[in-house]
Amino acid sequence: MTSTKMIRLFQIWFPLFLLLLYIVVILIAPFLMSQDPLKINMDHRLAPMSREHILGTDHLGRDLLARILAGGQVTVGVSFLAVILILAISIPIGILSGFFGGWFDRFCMRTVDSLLAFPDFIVAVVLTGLLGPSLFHVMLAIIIAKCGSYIRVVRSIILVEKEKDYILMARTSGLRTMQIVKKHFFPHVIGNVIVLVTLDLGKIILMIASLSYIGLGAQPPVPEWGAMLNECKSYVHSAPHLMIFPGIAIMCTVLISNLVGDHLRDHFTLQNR
Amino acid sequence: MELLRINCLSLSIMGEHILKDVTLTVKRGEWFTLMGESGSGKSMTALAIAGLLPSSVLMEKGDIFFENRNTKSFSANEWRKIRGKEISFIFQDYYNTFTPFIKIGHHCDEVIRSHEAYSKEERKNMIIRAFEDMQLPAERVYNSYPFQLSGGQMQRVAIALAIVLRPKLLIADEPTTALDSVTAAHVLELISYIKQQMNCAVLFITHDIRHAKKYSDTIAVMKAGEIVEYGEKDQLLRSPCHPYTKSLFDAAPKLKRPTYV
Amino acid sequence: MERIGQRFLEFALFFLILSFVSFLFIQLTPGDPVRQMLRVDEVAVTQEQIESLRNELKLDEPLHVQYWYWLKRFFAFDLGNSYMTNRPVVEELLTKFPTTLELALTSLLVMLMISIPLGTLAAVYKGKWIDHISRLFALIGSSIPSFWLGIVLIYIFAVHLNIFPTIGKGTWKHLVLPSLTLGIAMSAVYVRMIRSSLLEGFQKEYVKAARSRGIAETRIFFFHVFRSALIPLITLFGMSLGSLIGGTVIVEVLFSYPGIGKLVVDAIMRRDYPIIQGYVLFISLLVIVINILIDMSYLYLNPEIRLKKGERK
Repeated sequence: MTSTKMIRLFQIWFPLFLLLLYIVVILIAPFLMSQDPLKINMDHRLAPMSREHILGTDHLGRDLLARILAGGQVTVGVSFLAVILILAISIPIGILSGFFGGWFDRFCMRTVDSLLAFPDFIVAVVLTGLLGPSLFHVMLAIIIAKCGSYIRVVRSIILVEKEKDYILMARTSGLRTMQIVKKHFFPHVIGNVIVLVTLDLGKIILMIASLSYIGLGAQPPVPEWGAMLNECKSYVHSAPHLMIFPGIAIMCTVLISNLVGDHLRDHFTLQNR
Repeated sequence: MELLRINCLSLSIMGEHILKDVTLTVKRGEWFTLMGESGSGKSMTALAIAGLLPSSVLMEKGDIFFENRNTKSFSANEWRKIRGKEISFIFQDYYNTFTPFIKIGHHCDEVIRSHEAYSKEERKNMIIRAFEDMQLPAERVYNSYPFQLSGGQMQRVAIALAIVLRPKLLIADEPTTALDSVTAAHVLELISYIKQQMNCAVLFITHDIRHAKKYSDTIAVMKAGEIVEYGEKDQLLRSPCHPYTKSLFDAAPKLKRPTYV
Repeated sequence: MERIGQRFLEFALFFLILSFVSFLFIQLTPGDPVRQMLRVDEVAVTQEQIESLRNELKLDEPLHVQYWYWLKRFFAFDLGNSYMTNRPVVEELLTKFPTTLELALTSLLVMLMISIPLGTLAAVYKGKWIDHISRLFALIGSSIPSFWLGIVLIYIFAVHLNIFPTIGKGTWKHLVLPSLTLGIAMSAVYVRMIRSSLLEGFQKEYVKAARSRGIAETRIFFFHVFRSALIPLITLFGMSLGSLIGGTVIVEVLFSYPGIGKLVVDAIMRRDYPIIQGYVLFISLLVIVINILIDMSYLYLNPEIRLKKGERK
């Protein structure tokens, strides 16, 4: 590999690696905390920042920092899980749809198009409405809402690549279909999709937080950043720290995710050319 | 009588020279042809005259005098007043010089309104007359959008727009290169006709020697940003000095009977 | 014109399918609607009352019969009654919709008032400090959850400065904080879009040509560049319709603003299925209508589409 190619790869994958590192840290950190995020201690409610409780406590005396870190696990963990499931579902369907065409393709496209007619937030609202408020239902709703557009993207990549000469060569030289898919389609698809998904990660995190905020997502006592902001509504006056820190946590995470996504998009499109 | 004088104009882009010591004079009412291959700097010269150089181009030295005024001293507002009224420009890519969602009539109206205060009636009459001079179906063209016209029609509209305010200098940057030969010939005839009618000077940029032969009064040949030959048409054609000029003339396709051996 | 006809047909088909799906959903939801409607847990109800209501609603008939009755009521604009208030769903939706509409339009106004000047300045002075500020604004703005922005605004304006009310509806003052919240949140994305659309417009050949004809810069900007940027912007607006609708839901809950967003969230918490169903159908109708309007605006903005069947080169 030439050195410019190596630098290019580095530019693309390093920020992604940083993002993944950030996610891993968020997921692991709570295990390193000494305070219990669920432990209620009514003597210490709404305490300001102190040595014992670095960020103070909430209205039930629970340590805020511990809750934020635990909330990170929930918010980011669920978002990340949602992203993985979205990819796991839409990539195979998109590849199959694009590669084989026929009735399967037509059926998928019709379903996806009618689903995409709805704003994704509304799909989430409706699904939680019908199944009942719960974090799991919210995740399910988001997956269903988002899969549609990913299936479309994957399918369109396949449709373009399918006609290219190198695929024709592979087929005529007798490569099995699975081999073609794995070796030729996959790298193209994965690259583009990862860029999209990194950009979407921020949106998904915001959606989960928003839905939990209005009460449709995480139910108490589960610590989740959006739900925590909901709980602090009545204490805006007396304990502003309750609303500041979870908000900052959300903002930082989404910001990092967006920055990495933007960076990847700028560089990946350049490389694609 | 001198209309335009360029003195030792040198332009560069990011350190690279694109024009070097270009000097020429255009007299009132004369047809001046600037000839050369792609990249010889002819378009840049034209843009410099009209003050339309992109910001990345640096004017290293030289002056341009229009009617004995140094154009370097022109403010943005003075330039705006001059363009379209005293100096007009015709581009090679006629299609993209019109905003697609604005009707042709409105385009022309806009140009007139930007310079003179005529009434709506007068403006429309001026435009219709200009279209008729260009042998266009005036009313229909006036109410059309750009995409509804053919290439030849559009270029003629562009010319009509350029001359409606009777400019002193008409700069035509390869106006016929993108047209078929029949339409091109027609367009050139029209430009020549205008020149005679309005006694405006025409700075004609081309790479086609045949056009230069037919209409020019003065010819300047450019190569790699410099003028290599400059003189009156007949003299130049009879005895070109520079080897490049010679090769240009020789390379022109001639209509001759083929000789069979 | 046939485009609109085609659209209506698509819409009718879509609606039919949607109605069937939502009907199925209602059937699948847990709980007994009759018991819920009569609030069997709270009020003593006789078996006869339950039976008579069940009969009235034809709940014992086979599924397709039920669907038929449902469809008949649907086309008579009867979507049933709310489990909670027992008022017709249609009435609830129609009374609360103007409130949401007011909020949405005001928020759009706020968004335009922020993003158009900022985006324009960022494009015209590309690379200068105003451009960097707009970039920062866009980046941070799209990373902040809208409800957090709302809470912060409440804290600043209502709690500390005590200027604007934070709950409910009444005077124009009640509209300020909610529309500011939603407007600022949406403008973060739009600033960049406006900037890039305008930058593209600046590069066009016809801008250079207009300049060569002596047309004033400001005129070129407004009538040529800006106008050309409208189509992509409207497209983008169509795509961000979802976030506008979702945004109103969140903001209404946050500020207890009595619109259809708050209505449906309350309905979800209380398992009031007729309202949820009504909301879904209503929103789909809205989305379809707005998309048709957007399509029509293309016709107006882009004469090429309009006259496609007419003269061609």
